[in-house]
Amino acid sequence: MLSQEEIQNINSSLRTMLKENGFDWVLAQVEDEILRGREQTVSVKEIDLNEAYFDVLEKKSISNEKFVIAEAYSIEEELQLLLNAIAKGICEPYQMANSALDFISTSVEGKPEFILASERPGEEVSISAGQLQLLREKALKLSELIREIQNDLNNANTE
Amino acid sequence: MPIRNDILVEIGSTLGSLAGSNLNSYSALDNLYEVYIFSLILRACRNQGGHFTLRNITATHRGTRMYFRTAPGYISSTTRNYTYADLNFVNKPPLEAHVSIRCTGQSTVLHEADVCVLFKSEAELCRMARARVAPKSAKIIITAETKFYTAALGLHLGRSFLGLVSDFSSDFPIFITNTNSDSIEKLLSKRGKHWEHKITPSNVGDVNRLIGIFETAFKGFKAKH
Repeated sequence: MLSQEEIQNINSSLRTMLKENGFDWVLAQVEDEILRGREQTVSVKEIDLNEAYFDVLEKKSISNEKFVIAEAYSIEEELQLLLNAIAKGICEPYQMANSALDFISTSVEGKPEFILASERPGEEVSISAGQLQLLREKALKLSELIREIQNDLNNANTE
Repeated sequence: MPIRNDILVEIGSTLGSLAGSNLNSYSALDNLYEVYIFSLILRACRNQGGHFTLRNITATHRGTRMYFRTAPGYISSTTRNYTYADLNFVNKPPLEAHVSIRCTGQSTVLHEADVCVLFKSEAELCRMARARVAPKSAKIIITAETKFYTAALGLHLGRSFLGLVSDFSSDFPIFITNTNSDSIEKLLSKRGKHWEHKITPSNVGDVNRLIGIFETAFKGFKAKH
């Protein structure tokens, strides 16, 4: 079973790697989600209220009301969020590009190339099947490695 | 069972080899996601018996290089020969599909449509005008607001979509994301708005459902016109 310390270490190693390789934006979006917390709609009975305050409130008057609460994620959940984000933001885009290029190739002669271009000259990013071929294999490998850690985490939770 | 020691080393080296890719910036991926959704609209058109042809602003598309906007712009452009698609259904008014264009709401305020399908006559008018003209939302058949994120979406994105559709008379506005958000899904469902989540190639069922939704929009267009 993974200890809290191991989970913490994996989390911090992944964060460092993302920063070092220019994937800070993945981290930023995960941080936003962690800050928001896990939202849930619960009845007042399920909220951990200070007992003294509860007495003042006259709990009967609000016992049927629903409230939205945000709970902090556990460190396992934070790691899961980070692993999911790596899969979504770094691995899946290769499948996405491939799917769109493949479909478009059925309507043009030759291999299509997408140019993502702003109106300003020189600002463009090219995406073609040829460029992506090798990287797609790397992305696939990364998703397998991510899945391996996710499985370890899930097994640790069920043990 | 503890994780194997070398897995983090392997992840580090794989991330390193992906770092130089054209797909490592958020803005490129957000734009690519729009192009991916554009391709799903073309699939839906074909599934509904329609025919599509890729074109660019100045002429029929002959090459394999296709230009897509990285920021919302007008249908006409003097700096880039942006790509769009002609969509044709037999005996029906011709349509066009575009990525990231400006359009006008009922209030005459300019909005942005990440991916949209509109009447060709309206698009032609905008292309032919000397000034930069934005199409009217009333001439738009499908408007897709697309959001590519790596984590759950913040509620503000759902609220801004509601703001957009409140000023839009487009037949079929839809909110589409690769991820999910319980709060946005609840908000849009309660307001009766279309949304689809987890739209990525690996989620085949979700993608097929979205294509089906676009097909329904085309079916409605064919019935009305």
